[in-house]
Amino acid sequence: SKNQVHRRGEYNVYSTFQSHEPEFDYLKSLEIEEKINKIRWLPQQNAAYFLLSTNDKTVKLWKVSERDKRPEGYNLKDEEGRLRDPATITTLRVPVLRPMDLMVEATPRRVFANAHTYHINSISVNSDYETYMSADDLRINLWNFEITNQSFNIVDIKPANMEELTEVITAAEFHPHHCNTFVYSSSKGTIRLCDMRASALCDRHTKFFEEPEDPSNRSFFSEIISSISDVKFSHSGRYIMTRDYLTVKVWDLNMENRPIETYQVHDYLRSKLCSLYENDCIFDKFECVWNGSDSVIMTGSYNNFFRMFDRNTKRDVTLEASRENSKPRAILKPRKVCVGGKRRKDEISVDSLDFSKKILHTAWHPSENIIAVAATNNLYIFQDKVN
Amino acid sequence: MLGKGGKRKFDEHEDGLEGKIVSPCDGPSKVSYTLQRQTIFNISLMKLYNHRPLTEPSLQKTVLINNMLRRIQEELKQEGSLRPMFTPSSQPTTEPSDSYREAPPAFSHLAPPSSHPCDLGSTTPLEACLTPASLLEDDDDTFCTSQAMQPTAPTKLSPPTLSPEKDSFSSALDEIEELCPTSTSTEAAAAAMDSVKGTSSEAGAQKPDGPQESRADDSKLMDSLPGNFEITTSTGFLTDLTLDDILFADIDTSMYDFDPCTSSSGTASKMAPVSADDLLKTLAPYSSQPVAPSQPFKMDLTELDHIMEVLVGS
Repeated sequence: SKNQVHRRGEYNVYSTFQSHEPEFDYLKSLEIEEKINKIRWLPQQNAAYFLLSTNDKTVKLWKVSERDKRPEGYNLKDEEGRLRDPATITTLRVPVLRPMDLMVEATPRRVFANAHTYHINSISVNSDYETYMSADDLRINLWNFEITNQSFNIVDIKPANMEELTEVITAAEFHPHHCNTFVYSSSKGTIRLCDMRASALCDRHTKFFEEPEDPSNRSFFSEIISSISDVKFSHSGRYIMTRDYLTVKVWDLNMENRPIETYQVHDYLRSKLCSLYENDCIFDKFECVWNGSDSVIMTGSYNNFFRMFDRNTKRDVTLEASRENSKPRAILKPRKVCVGGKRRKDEISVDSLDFSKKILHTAWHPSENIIAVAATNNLYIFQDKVN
Repeated sequence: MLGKGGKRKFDEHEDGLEGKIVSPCDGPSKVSYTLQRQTIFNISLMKLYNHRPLTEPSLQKTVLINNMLRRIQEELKQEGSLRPMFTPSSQPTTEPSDSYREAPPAFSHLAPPSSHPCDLGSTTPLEACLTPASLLEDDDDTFCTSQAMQPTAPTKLSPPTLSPEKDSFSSALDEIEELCPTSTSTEAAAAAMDSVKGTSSEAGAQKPDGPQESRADDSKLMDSLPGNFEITTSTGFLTDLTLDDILFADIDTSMYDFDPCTSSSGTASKMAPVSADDLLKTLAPYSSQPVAPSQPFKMDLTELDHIMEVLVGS
């Protein structure tokens, strides 16, 4: 039924607003960028949309609402807008709502500031819709949406002596159904699942997920490429997906010692790790997403490529988000990277990949096959072929 | 290699070094493990100490790079008496070896610098440049190992133009020594000449100092590493201190290390600017003659000056 809806596949900008402004930390003499690190929607409870957006230090709750009518007919002011003397008003006039051009307004409703010493990398709305968490490199804080002047610290991995620091928090997310459960990932490729009922400070995990290192793949860069850049619960709540530099892994919450599935995103980069370390690409943080039914997972790569993996059929596809290949209603052609030997006609060799064109952020509609892919300063929206 | 969008920092000399075969970083089967490790070590140092961000640097990145350096340090410690060839491997890469001598963050727990890195007044610093006796016994084995591990690259890199300068430097030092006939300066000159000869890439067998110095460099740098997590802005405030002043107070390598790439390339070397004047001033106490540069050493000084210019790359 949904697939029969006629979609022309064209989208217009709904609203644009400036969420954060650059700030200056006078104590450290450093700039705080206005760059947004994460955005999370709240579940919709009325006509307005609510979302959380965060930069390195401050989380904000925004209300995005539409206005398409306005009241007209007041007789309390004169033509120039000055209040009339009540003595001169002799009739009671009830204003009438008249349609107007759609106006979308974004208003900041809450500002959650001054709770993070380090850079915020994740925010996650809890299933109770009352709380959310924000995670930086060393700490995770729990907030109530209504209270902006305090938060609870629920994870703290800062060592007493900073010289002993070898691991940081890279991502965190609440369980989609159990409001007491959350996971956080680390720069060493581990995931910890915590239960907030166990203690106020969840420094001791309930579950610890780590895959033993593959000795045949060992290199100087093993640790760096094992650093998890994103962690996402499946919609079912039964699995978690993690993204590290070269792979996407699916873990069963009931099995801690290894993932149940591993997908190679761009294994051809394994022999280029030193160069990628040199130019900092190895530190790129790719996100990953589930489709609505948890059967397909998607993540980005370089050269404006993004990859989809079907968990059931084990098929995967590489697609490209670029202007040349994306006329409206055009069907995306699968791409292939040639890893050596003879390069076929449509293939791209590893050496001609453009590493400045990286797709770090992608999103999948929660119930439909519509995806959004961010390629540098362009946003692409793709959908299933309309019959 | 990285194509249209990729930025390569070491483009020129990578091509020159490997003859456009493959960069030192890729294809571990083609180059020695130590060369790769050294390259990664240098890149890591550069990342930590070159970056002067307006915003706070990423803690995750800093931690990962630090872990990389620590791991390499551990490996070096474990290798113990097996002396990897550092000097030849540091020669091919201009910038990283520069970074060895560049201004790092100064760490408060380090001792304040001595008056001059090249403190020829005492014999201790010089001995530190030399190989400890305990290691000299192992020389035969390690020389064989070193020879075997020595990549072909360094021999390509010693340009013929440098040899006459080296020779004249040695001879200049000889002449200085003649004019300042004290035991201390003789030691200094002898040590200098040894080091000079030692860094010649042909004379692998005469290179007791090079690797040892580099190892000492490494351990000094390693010791100073951990403190940089909280130092986010202090790196920008201490540009007047050079690496030599802080870390190598008792090991002077700035005057004796030959880096053909540095001298022949146009990139600015940020080594401690030891000028011929400085050298003369340190020799002054041991000279019976006055120290003003325009004095008896004039002819030698011009040569010396020229050599120092080449060395310092100014």
